[in-house]
Amino acid sequence: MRQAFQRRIESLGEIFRFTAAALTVEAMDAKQRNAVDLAIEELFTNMIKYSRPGSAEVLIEIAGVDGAVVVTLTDADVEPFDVTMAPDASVDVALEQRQPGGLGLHLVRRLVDSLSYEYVPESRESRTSFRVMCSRPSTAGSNPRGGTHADD
Amino acid sequence: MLTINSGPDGSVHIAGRLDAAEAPVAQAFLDRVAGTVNLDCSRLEYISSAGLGVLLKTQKRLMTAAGGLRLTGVSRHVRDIFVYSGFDQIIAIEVAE
Repeated sequence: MRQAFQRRIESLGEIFRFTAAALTVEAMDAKQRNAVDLAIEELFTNMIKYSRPGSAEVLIEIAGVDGAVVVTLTDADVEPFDVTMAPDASVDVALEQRQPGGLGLHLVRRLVDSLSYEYVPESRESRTSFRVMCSRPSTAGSNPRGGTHADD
Repeated sequence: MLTINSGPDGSVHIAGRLDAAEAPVAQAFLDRVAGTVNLDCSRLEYISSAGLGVLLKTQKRLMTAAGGLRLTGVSRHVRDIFVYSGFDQIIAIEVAE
């Protein structure tokens, strides 16, 4: 399944309705579904924060592949920003030294089974993908007549 | 969707999803609490980094006045988020049984 979303925080409600529809109860348990939602939220909000106003919509694709759910967020007309290279946040410091922010990608890396990034300079597209293994065989993005397709 | 309100015993009840869209609502409410605040999280289904930011700001403010947050009824998933972010070291957390 795939859907494009306006580049604003208010799109999160619509995004979570999209993921709820894409992720069947049988495919993932609540913890795994929360991991997908959280990773999408953190990556999506990063895209909003670091893109210029009026940019194109963000495309989110969800597919079942080899017992896992693979999610890809595509951001168009942007500069490259490789999320896999962002440093971890400092989480062992005292309360007084803690600053808000910087935890999004830190959490993503701990919740997903893999994270990848690709930039296509010709189209100025930034593609971030992550994978979350399913506790049961995934039917996300599957053909309703049976079988699984990587792209719906 | 998020709801946050005060109980008759002065505790605060937060329910639903504390995500980036709902974080301002939660922050506006918690900006008004004082002292040692029991935050009932038994119906909190989800928290993202935006929600963690709300709790961090609140905890810092309360602790400067010798108060603080005490989270109760925390689900295992939300507990994991606190552990990954190190928030279990800076906020008192009780996990739901």
